[in-house]
Amino acid sequence: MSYGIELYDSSGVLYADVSTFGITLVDTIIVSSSSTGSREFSNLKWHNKLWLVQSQEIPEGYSDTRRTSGAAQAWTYYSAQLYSFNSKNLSYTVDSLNVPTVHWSPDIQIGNAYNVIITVLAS
Amino acid sequence: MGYGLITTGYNNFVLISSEEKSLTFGNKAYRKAGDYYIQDLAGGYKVFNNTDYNSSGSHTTGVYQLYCRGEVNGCAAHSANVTLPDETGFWTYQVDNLDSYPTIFINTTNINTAATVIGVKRIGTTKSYEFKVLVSFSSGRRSSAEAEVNIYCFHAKATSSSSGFGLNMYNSAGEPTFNVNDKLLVIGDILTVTAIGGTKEAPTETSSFLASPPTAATSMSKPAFLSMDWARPSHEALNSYSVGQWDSYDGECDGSNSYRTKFVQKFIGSSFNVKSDGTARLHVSGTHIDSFQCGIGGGGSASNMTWNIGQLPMYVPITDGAKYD
Repeated sequence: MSYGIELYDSSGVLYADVSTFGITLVDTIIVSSSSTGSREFSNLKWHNKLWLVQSQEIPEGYSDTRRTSGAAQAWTYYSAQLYSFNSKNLSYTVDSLNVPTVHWSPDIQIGNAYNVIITVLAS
Repeated sequence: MGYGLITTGYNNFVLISSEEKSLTFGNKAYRKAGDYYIQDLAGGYKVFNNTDYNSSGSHTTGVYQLYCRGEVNGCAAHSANVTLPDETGFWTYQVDNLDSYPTIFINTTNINTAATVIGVKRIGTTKSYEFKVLVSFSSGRRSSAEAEVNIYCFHAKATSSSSGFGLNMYNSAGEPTFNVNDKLLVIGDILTVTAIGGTKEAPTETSSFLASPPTAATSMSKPAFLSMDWARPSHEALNSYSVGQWDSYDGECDGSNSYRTKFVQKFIGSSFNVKSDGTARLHVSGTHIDSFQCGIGGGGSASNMTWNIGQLPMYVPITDGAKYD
């Protein structure tokens, strides 16, 4: 390389330099599926990009049931975790100082209203 | 920031920073008890008790089948079934010794095997996390697919130990943000997804990798995609058939009626891997029977797939899992 930092593992193998990049963990936010909110990260003026990742939070316990539906009395298969899908509209804005604010609001809500884990990553 | 150290790499993205905690490799997740195969549960289950036709009572089918059968006052009988392919597993994984919620990257070594995480939970107040993974595989390969799924979990470490050499960094709270002894999550490529669609047999996506990536996904030994819970494709099949109908007016079997088998199959999650031609492959993973009915309906048949999709465009970071094996 001609400049910057190189990182080697304990075996002396180069695994990162200025041609690559990493991701830092900024925050993990757990919110209800129906919530709307935002959070400012004043210490992230340096950021180039945020990555907003989400997943449902699995509640304790797990079971599936079979249920009937409609006049046809059909057996169907119901698994709350499989059936449920809760996602948020995620976005972020930046002010004139490049301070980002993450925004979330309800998006898809199917089945049980599980919490959503929002992971804020920065690079 | 007014102090500390930030180094940037590709496209001015950060490599390490004293402001925020670097994601470093924690552990690979391991599979544990708690498997669930919806197709196994189908065998032996009965359907229908529609008052418009007579049920003959219990009926046992082979595994992987849902069965719908109509019989109208002895005039006629018709049966229809839906076969569930043995290509989906709902597996439980666990990862231990993480200092934060896991950031999960998934690699599958077989182009026909895919996995996606659809939910995470912390086990009590421990440093262990359990998550549910939808895995799809070629029919009949459930036992061999496990070895083809690699789940890499990254975390932000809470403590930093000195090795006497190299570089350690801390934030203003004294928390470690980087330690040279930890394996940093290094991103090599990014998949950008702008649209998805297609059929259940051939889901499609409009996507592209970086034009000049640090390390192209196609050249990685084990390209591992950041697992995101971002879509629920739903497939609906509607099949109708006609059955002779008892006509009470003249006491003969001279009428007919149309019955239908409605089958709604929610696929859970979607994931990616890299095809040999250098493009991404979108997998529609999972099978979940949302609705299966016998009843009177219109004629004809139909099959379609719709999507509940998170936000697009979507940017999926990719790392080479082989660095962390």
